[in-house]
Amino acid sequence: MTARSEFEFSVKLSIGQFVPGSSLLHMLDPRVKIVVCVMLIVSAVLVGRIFAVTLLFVLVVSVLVGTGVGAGLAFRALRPVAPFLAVLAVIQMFAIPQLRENAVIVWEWRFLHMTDRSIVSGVLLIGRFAVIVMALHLFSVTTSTNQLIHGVEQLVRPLEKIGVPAHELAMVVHISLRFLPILLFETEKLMMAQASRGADFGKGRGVRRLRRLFPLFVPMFLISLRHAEAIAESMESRCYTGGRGRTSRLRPRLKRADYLAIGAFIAADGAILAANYLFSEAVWGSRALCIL
Amino acid sequence: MNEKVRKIVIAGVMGAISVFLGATHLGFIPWFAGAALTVMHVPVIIGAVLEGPVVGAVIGLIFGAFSLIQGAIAPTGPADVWFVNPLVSILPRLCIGPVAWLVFRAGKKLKEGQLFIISGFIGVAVNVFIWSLSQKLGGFESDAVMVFTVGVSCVAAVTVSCLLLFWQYKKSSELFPYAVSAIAGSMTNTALVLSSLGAYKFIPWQLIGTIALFNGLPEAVMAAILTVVVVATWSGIESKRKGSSV
Repeated sequence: MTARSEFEFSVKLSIGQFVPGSSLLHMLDPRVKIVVCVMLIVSAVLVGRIFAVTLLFVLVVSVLVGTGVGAGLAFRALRPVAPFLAVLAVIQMFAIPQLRENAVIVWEWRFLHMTDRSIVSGVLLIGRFAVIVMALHLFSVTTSTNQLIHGVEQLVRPLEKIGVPAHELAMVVHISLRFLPILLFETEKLMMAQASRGADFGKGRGVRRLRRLFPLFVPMFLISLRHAEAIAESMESRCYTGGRGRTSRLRPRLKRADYLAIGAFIAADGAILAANYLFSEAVWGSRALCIL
Repeated sequence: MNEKVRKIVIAGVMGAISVFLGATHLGFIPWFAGAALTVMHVPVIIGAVLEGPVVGAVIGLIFGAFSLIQGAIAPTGPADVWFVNPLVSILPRLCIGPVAWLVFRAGKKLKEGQLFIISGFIGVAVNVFIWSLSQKLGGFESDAVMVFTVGVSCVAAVTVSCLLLFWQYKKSSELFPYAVSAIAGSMTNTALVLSSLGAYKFIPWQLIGTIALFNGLPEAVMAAILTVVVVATWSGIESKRKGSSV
């Protein structure tokens, strides 16, 4: 079976690890979770102070602990990313020349220089990514793909008035997710078929490798396009015409807990963002404080 | 067939291919010095030339969102983690499809000679734009500016010559717009992702020209070949090159 296992991809596809449960986060409306997740990511990208990133991190962890999901799960999410984050932080601290300009050198050894600015950017990088990774994890663990798609659709529905095709977008994502297993199956079959004709996908690099992969890629695209035609035809024969006038079996409504959760989160996140911009050099005048 | 339903389905299916290529690592082709080239953006280009800019943008969105999630949940290297930032992963990918489609539409209307001249001009314009952007963001030494500009110009120049060779090889003017649009889409991806990485100071600007040259260029050529072959087979365009038909 070892020869076969080379063509099996199902094992490697492990994205979207929904864990069924009954925590408060599982119960919340998916829309609330999407908003929270997006806000966390956006504010992690926006903040530029170490204390603000730390506060965001504390906020994520406290959401996880407070809602009964448990911090252990969240830190487990960081484990695969941690070694890479460490490498990136080291690069940030030593190898970016732009961060050496008009900065105070803290530590120096031969060609290695560590400046206050490079330390700050290294710490910011770790903090920022940790927040985003945990936010995404928090979301993906407690939300099933179905909930996610319905949530996104309902969230963007108000934008339909200005011409954003909310339902169609959700449908695209839905088809994508549903099509993945089919694609997986077809590709496994294809690889075995081509291997039986003597194809070898594993060797070479660059254009030579691509040429070896051609007998796989081209039929893969063509089969998918053919499948797409069939799907479109069968959707149409079931009278699918798009979002207008379409009703849904599940109609989640926002409960009081949802309003409370989103209100509390926006307050906390807003406070952190406000603090991030208020504590600037202009206000405090001191370099040490502004760096933190 | 209903135009809209087909667009929805093709966007979904092409998005799935992009995700699949990334998740199984089939879409990464080993290159020198441990770097890898990717063909994950090819579904975006194919979707855009077949079904228009909106479909291209939507597939780009799926591609970008997936690389964001992959960077956060199952990274395979330090470079993956950069893509956790949506300004690196999503924004550049949204532009691939529309650019590829615009170039494709322009290419269909023009004669080959005109297209060459125009793509040369576009190359120069993109150069100048990236250069002035990097100047503005930079505050770096003059040799860095030089390396970067030279790198990007080399990319543009070699791309055009590869294009010429490729076109000569295929001798089919019908396929030419597809090749150009694939190269344009691929270069959009390279240029925008690298500039956003540079803007976030993840990579020093000095390195970016080199990466654009050694990664972006072969990626563009690969994208062009794959796009042309797939589209030609799908829409039944025949090239003058003898060989078996798929």
